[in-house]
Amino acid sequence: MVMTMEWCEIAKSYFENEKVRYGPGPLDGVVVLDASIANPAAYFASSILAEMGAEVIKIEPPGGDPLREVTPYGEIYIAGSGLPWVVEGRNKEFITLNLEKEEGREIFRHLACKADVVIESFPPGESDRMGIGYRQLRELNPGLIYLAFSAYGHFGPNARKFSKVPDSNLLGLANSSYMDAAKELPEAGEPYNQPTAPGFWMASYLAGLYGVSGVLLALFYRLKSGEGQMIDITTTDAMVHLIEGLYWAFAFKEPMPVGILPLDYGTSIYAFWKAKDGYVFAAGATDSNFAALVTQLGREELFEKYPTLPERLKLDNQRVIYNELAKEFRKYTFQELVEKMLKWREEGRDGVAVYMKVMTPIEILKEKYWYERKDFTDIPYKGKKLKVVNPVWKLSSSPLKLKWLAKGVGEDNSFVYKKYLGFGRRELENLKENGII
Amino acid sequence: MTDEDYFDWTEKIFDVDNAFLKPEALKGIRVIDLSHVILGPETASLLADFGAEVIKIERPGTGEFNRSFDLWCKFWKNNSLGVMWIQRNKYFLGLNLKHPKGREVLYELVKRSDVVIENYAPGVVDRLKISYRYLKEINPRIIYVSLSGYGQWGERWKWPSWDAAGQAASGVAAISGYEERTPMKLPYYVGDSITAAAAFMATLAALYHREKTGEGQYIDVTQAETFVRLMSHIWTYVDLKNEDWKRTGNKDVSMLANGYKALDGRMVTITALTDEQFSGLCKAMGREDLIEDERFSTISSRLKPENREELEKIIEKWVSETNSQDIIELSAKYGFSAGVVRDTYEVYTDEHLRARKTIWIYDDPLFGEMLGLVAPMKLSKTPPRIKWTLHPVGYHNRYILKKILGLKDDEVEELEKEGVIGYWEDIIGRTPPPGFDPEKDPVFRW
Repeated sequence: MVMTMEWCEIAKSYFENEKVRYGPGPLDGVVVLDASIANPAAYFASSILAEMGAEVIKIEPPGGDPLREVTPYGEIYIAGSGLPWVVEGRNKEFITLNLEKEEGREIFRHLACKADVVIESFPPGESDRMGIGYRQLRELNPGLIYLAFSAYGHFGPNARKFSKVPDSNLLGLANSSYMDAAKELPEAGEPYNQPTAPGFWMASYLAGLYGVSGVLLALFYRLKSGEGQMIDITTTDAMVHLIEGLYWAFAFKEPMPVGILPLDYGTSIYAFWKAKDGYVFAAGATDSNFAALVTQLGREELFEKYPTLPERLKLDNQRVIYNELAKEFRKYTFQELVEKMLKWREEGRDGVAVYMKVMTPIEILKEKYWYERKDFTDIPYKGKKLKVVNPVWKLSSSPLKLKWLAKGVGEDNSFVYKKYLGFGRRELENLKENGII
Repeated sequence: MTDEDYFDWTEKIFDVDNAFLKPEALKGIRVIDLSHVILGPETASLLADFGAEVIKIERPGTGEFNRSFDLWCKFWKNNSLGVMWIQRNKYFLGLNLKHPKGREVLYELVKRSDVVIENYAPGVVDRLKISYRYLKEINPRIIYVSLSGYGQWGERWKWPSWDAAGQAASGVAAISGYEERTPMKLPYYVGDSITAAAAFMATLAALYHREKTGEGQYIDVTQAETFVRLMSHIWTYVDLKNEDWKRTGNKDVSMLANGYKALDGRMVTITALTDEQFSGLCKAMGREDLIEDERFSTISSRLKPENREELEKIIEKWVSETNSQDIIELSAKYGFSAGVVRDTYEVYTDEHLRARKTIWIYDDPLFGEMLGLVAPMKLSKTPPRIKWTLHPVGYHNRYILKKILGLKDDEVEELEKEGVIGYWEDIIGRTPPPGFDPEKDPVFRW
């Protein structure tokens, strides 16, 4: 090893060899049937599995999955599909199958015998009633891993009563209490002091990530035991896992005081402010870091006034600190703040003030950093060139990959039905005539 | 085919009350957890929930950085609830990594381990000679997970990071909240906990790969990039339009989904993605006429801004005249997605979530009655489980050094004298809970 190499170069070298370029996906050889309908969490989960190299067969009703029609402002459709569908359809094979009819269900059972994983989002109990639930499929394929997305889950006292409720991003954010914390201080006035959901599909995609982990755990266990299993996931369960405030509810038998944005319940000061050229994040969480921050902003008296974290964290004090610093942040651009910190470091002074600009998507797409890390790619798609997010989690031996984007309804019917069930042209035509595919 | 009721059957196959009678998916996997704050600790805890033996290494004395912080600085039973949340099922080793012998102890442990997790500022572990390039020489099968704000390489590798810095850098903040307000800082440090969910997933993928090929690897997961991945189609949209994404509060511009204030003053979220769900909502509102209205009859027509605005007015009015709980009942009857924004105490006392062990109350060896929020996916054969949470710095020193490295009492004492291993200081966040007597604790004294 050349000792003069900086750590970043050594680290980069692990991801820059041919092995990474042509390396196998961690799930090469795993076959996944995604029979979910109108469920972004499930569609995202199968997208990640496909990035990992699994052969993901997306099964749609003959008319197509309604999720294809979902797109920002109902505005952009490419060859009939909305952007979420196009982007998260990556690396999948698209077939149609009518599960309303027994003949379709029988074909599904045959496919499930060839699969390692089935993903679905039916109302709990529905696939079982149709004869294609885990209870039936495990008899045919004991190694099968069955991942089910729903709103209230497949067991528990309310599971039956709420089985018809479709899961959704907002349901998970509301039901878990996450949105209770996502609101501004009372004085902000309505609607800003009311619960507010993040601007992306946080709960749905988080449930998707946990669902993928469930599949990986089950695959790992299956290597040793040969046994499959069922995995039950909801956006509510996924979000509840992140709610640190539940420990407060447990310990003090009362709701955690939250909903105090832009302030914080865990440390002070840790917030976004308006700067001269946009918004910035700044933090000074420990004593020395807080001192560094307020001194750099010319307000060292705030540290003298509030020298300890418990003092700074008190809601009223924190409010004063935030508002006083707000007056200072307005005077500087982000770059000027960074220069203050660099000078501070040059002078060898104690503590670190962390600044970060609140970047907008358009600004981000112009930054070099992401392209060096290969986080975005331009990909030709149906006569357009699309900017698409790549897999972002870097694995040096078994990399995740983006290969292609979503295909049309039933575009892979002949390939998949030939490969797995041997159907020829005539059989496919018959199935089509009978409304099965 | 059996006649047994579906939900009776699912209760039986999941049977979460008897989770401890079932096998653990990660039994036999040993993890060295060198991490601190939230991101790394939570990643390791998720592995521990499924049976991995996670050894959390802390600096003797003050230990983990986050032990100094708690929800509103409360320090229930002398300790941080915020740390208890994310230090589940681990073994606590107080080890001085700056001491050459401390490093030797770590190397010995790594020889016998499967995964290493760290989230120091990039470059720190390399200076300590415990980065991937050193540890893969000791154990070529090791899976080494480095977590950071911006990655181990690339022009930002030296940038410091917190969860909210990742939010700012990735764009999730800029698209959350209201256009006329300062962007929303997403609460509960999701820049850490969501990145941990991704890092856990990446680690499992590497474990599966290794099980089949024998090959270990290096993993580089970051806060900023994880959010970027979850923003998904938003990038494609802003690029095609060449204009920025607007902050629209609770309104989801890609599907009929929004938050509204109910008659009882509570915020209710309503989502109707498909035509079927929309027609359920219309029936619940007593407005079946809207189902056939061509302005609202397809997903894309409902999303068109002018139609959407009309529809929003109708829903808003209906919700404002209806009690939140009635809306929830109607959602179950008609099959659309509705939720009331609950507070933490309501969630904590939710019988359904308790029965599912999403809210898991258990008897902790140190803290007594305790809450455990384990990994949220329910696996029928290998469910996650909570055994214990936080322990004092160095609590498992003797257990780990004797059981895994085969040291004897005198050797452990020698390491202690040399300052290689150590225990907690009696300061807030480190002091054991009241009633804990180290001299009488058989695990501590192992």
